[in-house]
Amino acid sequence: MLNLISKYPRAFAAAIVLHIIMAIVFTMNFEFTSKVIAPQEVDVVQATAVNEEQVLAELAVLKAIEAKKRRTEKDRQNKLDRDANRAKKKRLEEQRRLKKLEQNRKIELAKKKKLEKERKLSEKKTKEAVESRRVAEKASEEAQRRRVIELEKQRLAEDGRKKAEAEQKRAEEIERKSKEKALKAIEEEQRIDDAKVRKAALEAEQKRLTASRGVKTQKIVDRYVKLIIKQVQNNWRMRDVKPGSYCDVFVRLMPTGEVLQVDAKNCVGGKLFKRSVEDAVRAAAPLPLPTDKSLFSQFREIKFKFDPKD
Amino acid sequence: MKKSVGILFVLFFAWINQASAALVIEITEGVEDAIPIAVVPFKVAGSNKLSTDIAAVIEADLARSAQFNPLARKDMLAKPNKPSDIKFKNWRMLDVPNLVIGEIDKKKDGSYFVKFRLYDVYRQKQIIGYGFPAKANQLRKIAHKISDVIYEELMGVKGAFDTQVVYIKKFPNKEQKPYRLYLADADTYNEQEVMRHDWPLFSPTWSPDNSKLAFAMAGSRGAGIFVFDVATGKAPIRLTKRSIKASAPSWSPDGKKMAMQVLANGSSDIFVMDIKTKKMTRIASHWSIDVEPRWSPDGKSIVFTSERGGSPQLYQYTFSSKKAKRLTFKGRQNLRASFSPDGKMITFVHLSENNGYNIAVMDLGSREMHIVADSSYGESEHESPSFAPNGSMIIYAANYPQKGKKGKKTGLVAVSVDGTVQQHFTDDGVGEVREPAWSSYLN
Repeated sequence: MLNLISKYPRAFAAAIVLHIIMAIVFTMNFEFTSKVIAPQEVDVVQATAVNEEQVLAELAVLKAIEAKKRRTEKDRQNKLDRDANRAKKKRLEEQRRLKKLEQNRKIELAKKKKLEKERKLSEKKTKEAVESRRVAEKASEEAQRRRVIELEKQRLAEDGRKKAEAEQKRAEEIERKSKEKALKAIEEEQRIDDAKVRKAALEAEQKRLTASRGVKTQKIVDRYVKLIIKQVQNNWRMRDVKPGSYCDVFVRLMPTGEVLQVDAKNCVGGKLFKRSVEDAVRAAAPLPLPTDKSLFSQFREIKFKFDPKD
Repeated sequence: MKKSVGILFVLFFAWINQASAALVIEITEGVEDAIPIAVVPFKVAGSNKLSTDIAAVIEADLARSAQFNPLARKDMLAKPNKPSDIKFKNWRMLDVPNLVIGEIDKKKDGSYFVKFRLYDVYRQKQIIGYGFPAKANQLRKIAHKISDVIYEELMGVKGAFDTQVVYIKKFPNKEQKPYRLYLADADTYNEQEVMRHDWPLFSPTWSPDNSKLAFAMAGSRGAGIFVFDVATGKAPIRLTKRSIKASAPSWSPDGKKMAMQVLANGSSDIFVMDIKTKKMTRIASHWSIDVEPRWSPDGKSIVFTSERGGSPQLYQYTFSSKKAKRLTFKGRQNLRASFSPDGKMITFVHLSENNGYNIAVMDLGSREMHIVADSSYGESEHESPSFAPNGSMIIYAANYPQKGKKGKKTGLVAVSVDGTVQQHFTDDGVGEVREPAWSSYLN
């Protein structure tokens, strides 16, 4: 309720006023009624009975009173209406006024804002202008400085160029002479290179041909190397080998695997050790060799490194 | 002209390059197989037959050492006696790198001259050759000497074939004087009785120069240590006083002192006697039983058996520190030690957990022990090991239980130090062989 009052104060006030007015009107009406009732105290039936004319006159009076009453009521109503209209009008007017006031305020504010914005913009523009002017000034200064340096450089370059040209001329002369000299040598070299290339190609071709057999061959060779190792180790009788004993034994084989020559060199470990390694190879003979006699060339010369563990 | 020389030069290097590109093969292992050798029967001049087959003795010597593998005679393709008869190819085919040939000439006085030659078959050249004059009863000895020469040439170590062993034999009690002391060649041939006695004889040992023997005798009267002069053959001389119960003699390397065990008051201690002054000094004194002293070759220490640790174990007493340190920790008992000639090892009886009496060798540097002759889980007992003077072999006495028979069969056994070759010397006598001791090199 209080909320409503505070929300619509004007409507509330109007309602109160209206009630008061109505209360007054009703009170006044009572007065009028009591005035009118007094005549009504006359017994109508009696009257009728009394005098038609009188009754009619009486009726006319009553009608007049009624009319007057109606008129009064109507006037009062009209007055009320008028008052209400006036109040409404006034209220509307007030509203309009307030609205206009608000509008004006807003307009004013917008104007103010716009002005402020414009002010700031102009300020910024001014600042930028100042800055760009400063930059431009600096750039121009730098450009000036560069121009000076460039000029200096050009001056120096000019000097250098002159010198270099002279140098170049001299160098070209030397190169020309040396080229002439080298040309002969290159031609000679080319001739030799050609021969080399031909030879290399030939060898490569041969290698290629052998390589096709190479993998297979290598396997066979490896297998026989293992067999030889086994056979020599089985025939190497080690006796009281001193630590660090060592011997290289160079062996030449016959195609049968028989030992043609055994020569122990670089031996450490004493006379008996040396003999033991030579005997190992001799006792191992004939050494196992591939049945493919074309592989014998790989076994013709063998260097055994006798290097006992521990 | 210049160019052609250059090309030749290049070709030459190419050839060299090819030559050095020989197959390279690395050999890192060998075998410890015995070295093959052929000992051709020696030819005896005339139609004479000899009681001794010298080549056979040499063969047996070399085989026993475990270092050689003599070629069986039946495998020989030829039996040359003179250098001109040798066809090296015959031996090369058999992969025998060493060949021994020999001849025996008989002289007018009945003595012999034994010639032998050792050949390198692969190089087809003589390595060494000698001639020895010999009486008929010396042919075995000459054979041992030849074995020594061959051994030294091919092994780089002096041979120990021409040496002797001394040992005790115990005959059944019903025989008179059942305890007898013997000398024999290292292969147990030429056995000679030194003495016999009713009382037990113990622990014979050599003087460092091989000229004398010391041994102990037990008994109610006159027990003690005696010295026998091998050269003169005179009756043994008492070394210790009658009042002293001494045994287990061991000469110092300089021959001036004698270590021994002495029993007194129910205990046994090690004493050192100055042979000249007869002064006795107790060493390594301890309340427990100390026995079997054995002098080190450098004379600086004595190894002995002691029960100071609870069970018989080996200890080494050092004269400079006057202290004894324990050497053996493995096994139930370790006893009866003696040094290798270089002093680096000891050999001893090792009583293992299964009660087998094994012969063991310990490297004194590393303290590592290995068994060279095991007792086949206690079926046989080994005792009294003794090194050969070159340290390559050990001789010991073994006894074996005999099924269904009373008593034990005994015999001497030579084993290579690596334990690979054992030779059980046959002994058809009735006596039990005990306590062999190997001599040092004979002169």
